[in-house]
Amino acid sequence: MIGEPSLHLLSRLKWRGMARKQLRRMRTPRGLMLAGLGVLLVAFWMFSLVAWSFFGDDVPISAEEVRPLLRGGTLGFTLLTLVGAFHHRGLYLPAEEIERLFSAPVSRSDITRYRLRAILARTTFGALVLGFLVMSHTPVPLYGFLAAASFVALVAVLGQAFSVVAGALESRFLRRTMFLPNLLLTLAVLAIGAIVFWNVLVVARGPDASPAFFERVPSFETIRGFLDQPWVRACALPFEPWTRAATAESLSTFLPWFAAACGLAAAVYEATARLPIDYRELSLETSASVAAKLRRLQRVGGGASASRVSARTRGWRTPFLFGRGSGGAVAWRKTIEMIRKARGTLWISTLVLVLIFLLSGSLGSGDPRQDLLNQTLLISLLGTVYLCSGLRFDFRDDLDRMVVIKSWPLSPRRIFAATILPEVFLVTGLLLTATTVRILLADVFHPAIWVVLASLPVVVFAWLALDNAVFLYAPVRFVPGQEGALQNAGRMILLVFLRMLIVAGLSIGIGLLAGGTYYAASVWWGWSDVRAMWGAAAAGWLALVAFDVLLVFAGGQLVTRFDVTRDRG
Amino acid sequence: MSDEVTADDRVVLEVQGLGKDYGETRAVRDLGFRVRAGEIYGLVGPNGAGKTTTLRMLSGVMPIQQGAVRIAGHDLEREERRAKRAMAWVPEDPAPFDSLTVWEHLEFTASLYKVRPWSERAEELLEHFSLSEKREALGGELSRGMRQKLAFCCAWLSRPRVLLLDEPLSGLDPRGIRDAKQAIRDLAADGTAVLLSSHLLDLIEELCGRILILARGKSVFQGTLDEARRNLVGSEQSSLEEIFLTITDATERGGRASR
Repeated sequence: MIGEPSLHLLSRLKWRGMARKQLRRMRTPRGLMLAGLGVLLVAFWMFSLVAWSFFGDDVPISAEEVRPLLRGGTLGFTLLTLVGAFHHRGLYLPAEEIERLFSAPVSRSDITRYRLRAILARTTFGALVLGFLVMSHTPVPLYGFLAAASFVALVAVLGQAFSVVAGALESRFLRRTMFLPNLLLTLAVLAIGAIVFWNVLVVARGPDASPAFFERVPSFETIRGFLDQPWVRACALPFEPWTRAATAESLSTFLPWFAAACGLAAAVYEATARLPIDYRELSLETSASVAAKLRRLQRVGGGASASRVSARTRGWRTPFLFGRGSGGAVAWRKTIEMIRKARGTLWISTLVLVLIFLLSGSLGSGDPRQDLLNQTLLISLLGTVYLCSGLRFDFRDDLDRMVVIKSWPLSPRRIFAATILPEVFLVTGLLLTATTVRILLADVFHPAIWVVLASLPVVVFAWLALDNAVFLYAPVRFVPGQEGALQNAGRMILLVFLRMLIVAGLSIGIGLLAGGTYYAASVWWGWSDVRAMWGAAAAGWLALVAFDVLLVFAGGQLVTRFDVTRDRG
Repeated sequence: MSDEVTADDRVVLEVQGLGKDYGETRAVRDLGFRVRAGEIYGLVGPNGAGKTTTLRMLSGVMPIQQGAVRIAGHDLEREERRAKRAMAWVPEDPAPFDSLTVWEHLEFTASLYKVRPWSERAEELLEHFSLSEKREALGGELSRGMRQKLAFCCAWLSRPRVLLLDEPLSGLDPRGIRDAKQAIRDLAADGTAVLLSSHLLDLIEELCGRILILARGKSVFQGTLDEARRNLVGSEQSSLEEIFLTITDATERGGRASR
């Protein structure tokens, strides 16, 4: 057996331990049911990948057609992995391992091998997914699957080698300019992106290339033509055994290439383990920073609220925007958090809004007024959903503080409302800005847009209050390396269903009320059509406000009933 | 203020010119001391004095930037594995493996340090540290004090020649503190050199024959408590707390003056 026996034993013990913990979680009917749902979710996802791969679209299967795409894919995947690897300099080891293994009588090569084995085990899921995606595009699906899966393993090892080497070079030569490699790498990625973009979308399309390229989808032939250029082939040369194995049409062609690929992967694995680099110090830094990040994720969940406080915003004074009372103080706390974490807030908001804004530009029915209405509706609805789940300056970052929050001297209803109010204002403000820009860019206007704009704050409040109420009812959070992932996946399905049921019920209720109002106004009360429409919109709006009030009461109840003693690990 | 240990006198931990810089900050400067077999040597100093950095270098967790460390006659840089096999390290907040049982932690440690046979010794240690009932408990289920006791069991298992302890009594209840103190004394009586770093000056005073006071990464005193009383405070009745405050205050004033 290659490597230190005690580290093999540790791997075995850890696998056994994980299985034991999973079994313990499945002892109760609830744990068993949730795990079953989780397995179903994963199985369904895998099945949908395979089904989509085979039946989803018209796919090429000749080796010559696929090869350039695979070369481009291997290059892109490697580049992305290396960029990601730069964030983990040295060898990352979890808190329970780092001091124990570094102080133990084992060689660093053995520690690296142990870590690589753990990384390879973790990439199994990714290897399966990529294998399923690739297999339907290759002449023999099994060969495509095996080549793709083994390529994922190679790239995972390469990423680790890159972290160790780049970290060592950086600490030796660039100690005072740690940001430089990141900057160079980001610029390189952007430059490659720009070249690809220019080649595929502009030059390759010839002189008729339109500036409105966002609406264009490059054809398969264009992409293949671009990836078949000599420089792409030269760059992808080290990965040629995988490309050839994946596109092999017979076993006699596949076996030599696959053997070469496995041999190369094994050589890279062993070379990484034997790198003559003392990575201990970098690993201590990396592990401490990852541990801090995980703690932050566990404490506040994902989204902008989990981002770091920007140093520049520390000295800024935040005004009491919601009054000087106790409710105002609760909201002030959240407002400060948003401002202090402005970098994360701005980054997520901009990303979401730009994507939705671009997506809304693709809507076109021929009627400019109707298009504008549809676009504002799309921005408002998708913006509400994605901004609310991306920002999370609400109860979702307060889980560990609930024991203190519950002791605050104001009613739970006011705690609930005041906690979510700043985010309601922020999301509404962002969406109003985006819709206003869209309206200003158009030459037309639809009167129903007034209804959309007036509904924005109440819809945002309703969505956020519902999100928070569901979270307080069953606080589930996804954190990398979390235990009970299967149960959490199952729990997530149930919660999504619950939320969908509530939203569907609300939509039907508001629809019936608005429809009833319209009918009553036009048939019984003799109102004009336009007036009846406005009446229906007002009834719908009032119903939404009533729902918001109801949610505040429900949220207050959930804050009261929140069990702070329950272990949420 | 002298290190009375001579080179030939059962020295198992020998530190010479140890230094460590973090960028512009000098965390540890030219540190040198020797610890004999069976001796309990105290390492004290205010927050940020460089105690944990020193212990991390001595344990091999962190590379040695300047100087040399010999453990049981083996150079920690050149004969790393041999040196580490003779040493055990209990960090300030030991993190057990969440999914391994208490017994499996010991099984792994025995394999790591090539301890054979190990189960009888492991049973004894669990009994001594009142962990026998927790034998099948998972690491993630242990309280802070139990995690500490488990770390002791793992460290004690290989009968190390040098034991490094960073704040060993954190999180222990009174009975745990008593048991831990006795276990440290017993191990030293069996010939292990113990380097103990702690803020609990009573503990240092009670267990350690000699002490090293670190301030701003520099050794400001090495010797016995009596020497410290005679040379630094001038009173035979002074406690370690008074000695510590006198020395560190003087260093702090010196540091401010030099700035």
